[in-house]
Amino acid sequence: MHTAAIEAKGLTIEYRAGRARKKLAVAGLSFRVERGEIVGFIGPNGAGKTSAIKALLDFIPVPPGTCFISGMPSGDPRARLSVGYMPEVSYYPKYLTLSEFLHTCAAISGMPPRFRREAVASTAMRVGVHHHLNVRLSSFSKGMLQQAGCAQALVHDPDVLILDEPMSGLDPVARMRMRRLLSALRSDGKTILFSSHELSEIEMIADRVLLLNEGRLLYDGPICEVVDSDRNLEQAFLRLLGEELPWVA
Amino acid sequence: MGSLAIARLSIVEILRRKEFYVVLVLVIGLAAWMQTMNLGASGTGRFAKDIVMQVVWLASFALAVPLAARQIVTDVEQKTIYVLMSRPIHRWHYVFGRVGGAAAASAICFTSLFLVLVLMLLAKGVAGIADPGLWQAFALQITALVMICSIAVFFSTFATSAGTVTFSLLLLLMTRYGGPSILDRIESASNLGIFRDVFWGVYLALPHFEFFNISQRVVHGWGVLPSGVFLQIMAYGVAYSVFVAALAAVVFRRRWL
Amino acid sequence: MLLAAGVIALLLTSVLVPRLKAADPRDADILMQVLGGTADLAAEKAYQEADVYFHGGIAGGCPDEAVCVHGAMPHRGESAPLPLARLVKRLHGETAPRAHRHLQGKEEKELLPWFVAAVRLNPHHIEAWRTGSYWFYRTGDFQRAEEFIREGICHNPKDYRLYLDRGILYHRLEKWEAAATDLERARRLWKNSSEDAPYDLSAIRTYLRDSRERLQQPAISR
Repeated sequence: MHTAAIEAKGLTIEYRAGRARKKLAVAGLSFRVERGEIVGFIGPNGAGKTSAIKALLDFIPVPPGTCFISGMPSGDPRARLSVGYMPEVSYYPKYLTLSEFLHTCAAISGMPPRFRREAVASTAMRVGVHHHLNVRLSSFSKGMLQQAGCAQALVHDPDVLILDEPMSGLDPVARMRMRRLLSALRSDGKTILFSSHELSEIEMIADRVLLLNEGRLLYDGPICEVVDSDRNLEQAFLRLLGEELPWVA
Repeated sequence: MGSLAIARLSIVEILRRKEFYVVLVLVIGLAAWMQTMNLGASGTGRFAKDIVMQVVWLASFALAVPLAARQIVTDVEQKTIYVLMSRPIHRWHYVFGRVGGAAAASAICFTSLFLVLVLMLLAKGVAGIADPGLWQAFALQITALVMICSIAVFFSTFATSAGTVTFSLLLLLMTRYGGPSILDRIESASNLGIFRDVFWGVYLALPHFEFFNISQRVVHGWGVLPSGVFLQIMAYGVAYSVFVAALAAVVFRRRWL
Repeated sequence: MLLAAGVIALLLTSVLVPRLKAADPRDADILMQVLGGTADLAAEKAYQEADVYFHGGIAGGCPDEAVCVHGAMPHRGESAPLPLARLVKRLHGETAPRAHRHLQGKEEKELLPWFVAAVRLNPHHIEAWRTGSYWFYRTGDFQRAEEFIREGICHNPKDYRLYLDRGILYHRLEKWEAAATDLERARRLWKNSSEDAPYDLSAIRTYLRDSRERLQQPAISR
């Protein structure tokens, strides 16, 4: 049986909102991300994208049989052996240098010590932060922290990447570099699931798109199909959400 | 390996923050002042040894508790935990790594402060450093620090940083300075019936930091602890720490991050 | 310019005048200012700590003679034994000193810093001056004993007890004239202000009579 790189089956997440009330963040979400794909995860604020990602990574415990990474249940740490995650909010231990931070991440991922130095150096070079290896993270700008976050996601050479708003805080040059990096990673056979509010970026890079709204999957399909009848992904996004299209002169 | 790497984070943190160095300088200043002040009689070693020892012991707790209390809380609040827990480690790896890191960092701080005491004793010409009791006290204090770190990390899995520090220090002070008198009160309260047994159970479950405080024995020259007693207390400390850390891992296991 | 001078003068006055007016030297002492009212508590604690030191680190001396002398567990009445209580008590007994012991010989010097600390924190702690002077004498440091009690008198010139103790010290050191002078002053300052006051008066008279006899002076009238 063909195993998807990432799979969710009937994922439902409820948060407690007050004493007796519960808020449904994700309702019966099911999707697959096949190996080698780049899939964009889009939706308005509060749609449940981050909650779904947290469930995939076992930050939120879910019932067995709900989330899988490379065929393994998300609750099993071995499922994360080949996962690289870049969080939306780029907070990292401020008192570490970038090099120490990447070494620590590699060590926790189980990389043997003899491979770490080379892995850290090559990853930093690839992401474009090799000049800042001996600089403390406390003095990094927001954009540099994003790049550091990308580096820590890649340092152990994972097969699956889950990126939450990877373009956030990046200047245009850095965005271009990130797009090129994601494309290169796809060429290397990596699987990428990334969420973003930058629909133009998703349109440029992604093979497929998952559109979430109020915890439900509205659309799951190739980019080319969804923009076929609309000028761009943004207009398709608004149409699917049921909003009026903006007036175009 | 994951736990070790996480533990290393705590060690790097304490060495790069200023608090430890401030305390170290204060202790060095105190020891130097003890050397120079006119204490009314030459050759008196106990006074300086007692004062510096108490300050070093208490300072090590004062450094350990906030350090251990903020490990998990800071990770969750600042979301640095995501980067750690997205790796292939169990949650208990993370908890034990934090406990071990806090304990190791506290032990490093205490050892540095203890060296100041040792140097002061050497400078005073006191033969105290050859006293095996002093080294027993050192080992027991290290174990006590491991205990308090595991307790603080346990509290931090469900309480705020401030609450964790408060609860941990309360437990520490209550048992370290009031342990024997609490026992006496419970023993003599025969009219309480079943509640006496309940209080006794709670008392036994408390961390008995009073066992680890042999500073008065060392200062007043009461000799070494019998080796059997010493090993019993050390074993108790290690077992208690592991048990509490395991409890913390259980509490943390189902926590939403 | 005039305004600036006025402000500076006001600032200096607010700092200097209280210092100049301070009748109690403690008001000018930075340590006392930092400690405030807790200085007296700390002084008393330091004084009590001397007793703890004298008993080898055990507060209150020996709490139970049976424990101290015979090493037996104290009898606590008829309550049922609690599980593991024996073990816990044994560990308490091993980790904290329990036996009855006094400092002896050269070890007695270990008490002295606590008296020095007590009077530093509270120069009006009469008992600390008295006891400290006694222990300086007992450890053989006669000069320091004399200096210590003299300093106490400087801080407490109206307290007869310090003159009494210095008189007794001089008497022991066979300085009869100095002893007589101090004991005479103690007699003049004596007040019946405590339970021990009648005994102190008796001691004043006894030592004064003896000092005068040794000086071959006529005895005082009762």
